[in-house]
Amino acid sequence: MLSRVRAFVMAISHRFRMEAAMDEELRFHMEAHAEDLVRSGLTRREAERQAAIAFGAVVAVKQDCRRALGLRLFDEFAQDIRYAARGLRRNPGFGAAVALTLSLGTGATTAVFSVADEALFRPLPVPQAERLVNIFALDRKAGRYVSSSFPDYEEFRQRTTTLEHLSAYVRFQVNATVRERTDRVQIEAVTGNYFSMLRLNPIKGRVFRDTDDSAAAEPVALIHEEYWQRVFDNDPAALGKTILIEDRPFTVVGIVPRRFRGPNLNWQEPPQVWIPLRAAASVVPPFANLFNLRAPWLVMIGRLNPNYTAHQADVEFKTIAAGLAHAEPGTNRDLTAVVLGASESKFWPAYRNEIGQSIGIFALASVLVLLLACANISNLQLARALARRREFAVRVALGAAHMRLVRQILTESLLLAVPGCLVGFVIALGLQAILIRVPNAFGLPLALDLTMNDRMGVFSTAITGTAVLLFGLFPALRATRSDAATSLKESGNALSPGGDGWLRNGLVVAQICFAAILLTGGGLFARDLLRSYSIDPGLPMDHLLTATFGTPTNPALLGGFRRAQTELEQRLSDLPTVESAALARENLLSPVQGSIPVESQESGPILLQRNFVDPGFFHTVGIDIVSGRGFPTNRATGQQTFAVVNGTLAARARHGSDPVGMLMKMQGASIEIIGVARDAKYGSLWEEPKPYIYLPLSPEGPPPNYLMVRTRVAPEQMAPLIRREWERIGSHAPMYDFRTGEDLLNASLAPQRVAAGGIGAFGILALLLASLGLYSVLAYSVKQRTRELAIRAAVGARPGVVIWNVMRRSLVLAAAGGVIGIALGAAVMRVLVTRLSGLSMEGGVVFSSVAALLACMSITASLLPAFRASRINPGSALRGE
Amino acid sequence: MDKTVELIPGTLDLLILKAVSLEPLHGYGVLLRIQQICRGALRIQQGSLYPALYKLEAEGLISSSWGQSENNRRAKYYDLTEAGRARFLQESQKWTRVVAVMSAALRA
Repeated sequence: MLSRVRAFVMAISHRFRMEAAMDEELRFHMEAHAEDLVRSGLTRREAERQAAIAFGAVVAVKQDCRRALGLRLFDEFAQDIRYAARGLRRNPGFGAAVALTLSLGTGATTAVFSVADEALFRPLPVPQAERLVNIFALDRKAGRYVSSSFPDYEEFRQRTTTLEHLSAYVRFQVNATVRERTDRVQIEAVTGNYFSMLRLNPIKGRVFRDTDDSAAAEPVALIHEEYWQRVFDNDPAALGKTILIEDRPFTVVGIVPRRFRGPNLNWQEPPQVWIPLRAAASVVPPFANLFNLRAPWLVMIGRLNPNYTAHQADVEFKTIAAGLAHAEPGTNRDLTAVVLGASESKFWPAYRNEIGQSIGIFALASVLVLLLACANISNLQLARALARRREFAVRVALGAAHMRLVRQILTESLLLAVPGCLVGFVIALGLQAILIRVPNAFGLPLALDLTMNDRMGVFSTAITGTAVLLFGLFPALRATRSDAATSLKESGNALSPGGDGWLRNGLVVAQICFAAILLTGGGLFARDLLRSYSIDPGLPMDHLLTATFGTPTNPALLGGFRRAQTELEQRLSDLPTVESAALARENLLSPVQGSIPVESQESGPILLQRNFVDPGFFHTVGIDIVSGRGFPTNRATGQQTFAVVNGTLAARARHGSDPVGMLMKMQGASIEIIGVARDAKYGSLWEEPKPYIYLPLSPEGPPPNYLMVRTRVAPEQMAPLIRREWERIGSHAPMYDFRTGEDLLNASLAPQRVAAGGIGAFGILALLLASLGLYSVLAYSVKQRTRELAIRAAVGARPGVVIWNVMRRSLVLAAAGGVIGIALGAAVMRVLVTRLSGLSMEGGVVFSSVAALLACMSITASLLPAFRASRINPGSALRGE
Repeated sequence: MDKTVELIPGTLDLLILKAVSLEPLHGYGVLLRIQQICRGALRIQQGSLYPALYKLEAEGLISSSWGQSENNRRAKYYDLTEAGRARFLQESQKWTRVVAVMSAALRA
């Protein structure tokens, strides 16, 4: 068997060489024979003639030889392709429609797959990535995942037997200066064994060794290939160069390949620079204290020992964690460890459901589009195959095998699939490009690397193959099943509608049903989006500009930085184009907000989200103080003891009565509430009203990270001006990420927009496809019923009756598909999106709009066939019989 | 009276295996060898030899290689493989039995 396969493969791959060899061999035979004949006394000419006769027909022999090698299949396939191509050339519209339909289906599915693959499945780009595990600490009492402390890491690392290596890392942002240019960069401080644990080789230089990760070691850094390109212009001499991280010199010792984007997709961007963990203390001095404290700041990742599974590691780490909880009850009492495969936990585990759900919706939508495309093509193919029944019958009568005809139709499908698949791949790349440009598309800041890759190609090919089977096999079996005799007797205009009506009707109902599901889903998301525009963010978002400061982590640089910030605020306030400017610790409508523990007599200890703001803040961003006052502008007296609370917190703190003047305890000190600010949206537009506290910025407290400017002109115009002003002041800290109020709103709405836009676009696409399917079924049935309709016309049926007859069929099909589809759509949405739980009147609007849309579609699709039916001329139609 | 007989279907393969079991032969050589061992009593359509050779090679019973012919030309030589040798023994025993059974039956 094996040798057969080998011979077949060899014969196909070396087709030309094989043919040449065969020719040579046969020629040799005849010439040798002729020579023998010459020797026996014949003339050369006569000898050659006789040798040729004795040999037989060379062409037939060669054909038999090829067959003996198993090449017949191959030859027939080539023949099928030529035949199919001829057929398609005669009917290019059909071919284009099928290829386009298919490409839309596979393109959408492939794009969604690439996102799902990147976020959920694809292994990290390192050797034996399946052996890598992430270890997360889980606070059982609070039910959330937290970071780990350095002493805990050390304990785990020394006691584990299931892991070969255990590493820890921490991610933060710093200012890095190369050639006088300062950038804000994502940096990963890692233990010395990190890269050897990953088995990641640098493209140049070396990775860290254990000796690099000690307090006494020379400070060294690794840079990402992208950073090397961007900042060092691919200079090979970058190795050995110095890079200033927060004004501390680090020597670049290696370049990390582009494909590695860190083990964790959180934090929006991949790391660009790596430094040893111990060296991080020189950049962020508070880190120095953390090596002996059980305070959470690290994430752990490790490589399994051979023969151990992630589950065994999980059991072991839980045991070690239990021991630590016992030994260190003060800090570790509620902590346990969770070990997860690194490829399955590319972000904090808590996000997994959210991301899975949001990708699931898109996956479902794209699969529906694909199924719809298949149903559509199946229908078109079926119509075409049925029209060719006589041709098939003739071929069967002439001795073609049944399977041969099935193969013929499948080949045609394949021929359509190849361009469909290619165009689909291009569409998928286009969709990726769109997704990349929508920040926060999935509601979470993930550093997704959406680029073309081999897995996408394999998926696209596989899905196309499946589609070909789905849409090709069905009509193929169906059309070739009929026996030759009846089909040949049947004429093209037969009275009988044929037994395939139910099948084609079913396919159309399915298409309309899929379209209805997508439209319902898209409609519900769109309604959601519309409703969101009426949500009050609590402040005017027009004429607002925010910018991010690259706040130094090095305290030595902080004094100058803060003076520069104040100077900038002052200068901007003096500009005629600026209404006012302010500084704050947290940005507006930003998912990341710090929190602080606060205690009051009424509420007991609570964790509050907070912002540190300067006196100009409330005026600048336009959050009204509804009671009491804001922060005073004279910064002299100990302002740290004041606080402004929001309406929700005020209502909670004193059960409705005015909390101004009330005292709260915060980190041991007593603070006085001096004002109440109107509620606003802090993290996202969708959040419920939540308690929030504003504290005054102070020189001892954390520095402000954000600049907020209320402009008198279009805010985007101001960005370059502000940047220039900042550079003129001469701070080396970068300023970046300028966002207008509108940008902030858009980022907050991005998931809804992507969902409404994406699913809605799929829905409209589906509607178009379904109407095409409906049209083709109606047109075919009118053509088939020509005789019946002609007789009706002859006995006096009015055109109106005929038209209604066709339209009724269209409406019945649309109604059947629509009812099932809307019901399924509503059910699916209810399961998927908990936020849409209150489907009531508003849902009703969506459902009735979808129903109306489907009704319009079905009438439009039936117009042309109905008109044609009403114009049938009984005389010519019946004579044509 | 013509003393040659038509080939019984399926026997050509066996004759080819027999022919190349003695020494490697090119296609024409196989034909000559068969005619020689049958003393010209078998009529073979020469062309039909090649599909049979290709099939046996595809089945791994014989192997081929290019070599020099007796008149110094490039020719494709066929040789028996181990699998081919085993098959040849098996098939020839079977053939002998069939002939014995058939002869006995017809004599009865």
